Amino acid sequence: MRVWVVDDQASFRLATAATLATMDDFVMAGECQTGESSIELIPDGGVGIVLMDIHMPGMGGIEATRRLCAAHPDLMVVLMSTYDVEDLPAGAADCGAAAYLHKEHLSPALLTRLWRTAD
Amino acid sequence: MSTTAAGSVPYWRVPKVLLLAAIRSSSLLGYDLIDRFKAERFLLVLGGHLAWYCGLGVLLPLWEYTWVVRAPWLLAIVAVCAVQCGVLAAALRLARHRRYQRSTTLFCIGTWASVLLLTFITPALLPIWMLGALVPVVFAEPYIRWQRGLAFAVITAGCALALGALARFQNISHLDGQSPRWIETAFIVAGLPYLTLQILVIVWNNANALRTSEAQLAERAAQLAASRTRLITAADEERRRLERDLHDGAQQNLVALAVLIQLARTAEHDRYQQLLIEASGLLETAIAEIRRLAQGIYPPALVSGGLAQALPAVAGRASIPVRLNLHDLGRYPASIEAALYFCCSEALQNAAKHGGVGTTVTITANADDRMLTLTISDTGRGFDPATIGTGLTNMTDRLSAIGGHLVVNTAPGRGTRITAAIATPAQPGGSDCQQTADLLAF
Repeated sequence: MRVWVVDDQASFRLATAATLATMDDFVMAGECQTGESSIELIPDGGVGIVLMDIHMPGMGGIEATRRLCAAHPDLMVVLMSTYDVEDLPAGAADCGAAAYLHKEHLSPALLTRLWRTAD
Repeated sequence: MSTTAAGSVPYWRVPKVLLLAAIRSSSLLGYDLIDRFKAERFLLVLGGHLAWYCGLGVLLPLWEYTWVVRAPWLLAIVAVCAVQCGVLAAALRLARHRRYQRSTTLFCIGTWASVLLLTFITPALLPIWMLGALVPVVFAEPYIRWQRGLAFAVITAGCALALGALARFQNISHLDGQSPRWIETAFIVAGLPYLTLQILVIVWNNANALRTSEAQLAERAAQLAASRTRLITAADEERRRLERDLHDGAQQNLVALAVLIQLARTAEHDRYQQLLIEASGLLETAIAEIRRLAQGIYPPALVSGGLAQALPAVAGRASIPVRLNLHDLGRYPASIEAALYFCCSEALQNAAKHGGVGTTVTITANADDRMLTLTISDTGRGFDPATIGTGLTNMTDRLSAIGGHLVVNTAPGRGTRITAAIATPAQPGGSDCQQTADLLAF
């Protein structure tokens, strides 16, 4: 399974890479720092999981999710941030994201569970 | 100023603009009536009055006595007016020593006495002497306490009544029996318009001063309201910045740290070593972030050692060379130290950000018993003063809120000099701190 991580913070990209490195059936497909670059990077017909940070310079995670979901119906976008659910910006619920997760809960088990529920 | 104005207005309005500029900048007419109200106005009115008594009361009758008619009543006028001139000269002298109340009192009493005598001598000239009796009390109002002002008003009314009575019932002398009528006319022509104008000018002047002070008060109130709004906005902005810094900085590192430690718990031996190394890197970054953030919120050096310690510390952290000349810095109330410190750090940030390559900064502090002045000058590229940033505006507001002021001198290509000055309560132990400052600065 391919995983993209979109986050302007290097530390979370590092944590994602470390998490994926421990998993056999998930691979890091690419890292981007902005929503705009994620739209360019993810190829047509891409299948997999996008871990999308919400607060980024530029269009931000919500708008990027909306566009990615429109372009790639098979893609599973997971919104991630450190904010509580009630502090999320408007549009987080209906932008097409499959789930919202706190960044600190990222783990191999969680990724596996997410993918299974999607199936 | 006037050239800019002349460039932007139609030519037919230029004279008016120039005239207004001349009036506003003139030291004689004094646009800032409030500040110069007492001294110059007093001397001007008293001097004018002295000249009038001298001309109309001494020179004119003397000339008439010498060349026209040898009437003794002319000499009597000269005698009274000469005494009045002496009184006015004495009042002028008192005014020069800023003893306005005494000067005004002398002016009033001298005038009442002389107009009574003058009316006795020349009842036909009553209108002149009546107006003359009104001048001092109209003029005196800003210079005396209200009780005395009230007494003076009552006395003036009594004096006016006495003048009227004298003019009506005084029939012991027909001094001017043989004098030509035009001599009296000459007195009236020389006296009435001048005194009328003088009273009107005094009244308008008082009203104008009131209007100016009202306008200044309104302007000040508007400035205060604006600066209060800006300070609140700045405080909110500061909290937003703190939230962002916490969220984007330390928290992100801690989040990644949580993920890595979670991984390390279940990782195999050769793998968790690597994870822990990465985790400790993140932790160190997070600690440094929090330290930097705390430092920005309120520098610990400012609490422990005041400006003498905190300024060298902020200079040491700056990315551009900073020279420090700190003289006689002591400890001051926390609000003063904080305002000046943040002023410096704002100026340093600006210089580093906008100054350009090779910019150096000099921070000079001068303190005496009453004032603390801090000057931050850089050799950067300067900027148009009209485009001053919110940071410096906030500093200006902050300083003015605690009774100081901030002046920014800059122009493109000329560098920037920021001067912050504030009145300080006297503080003992200034010299000890100065030694510390020198040690730390070099």
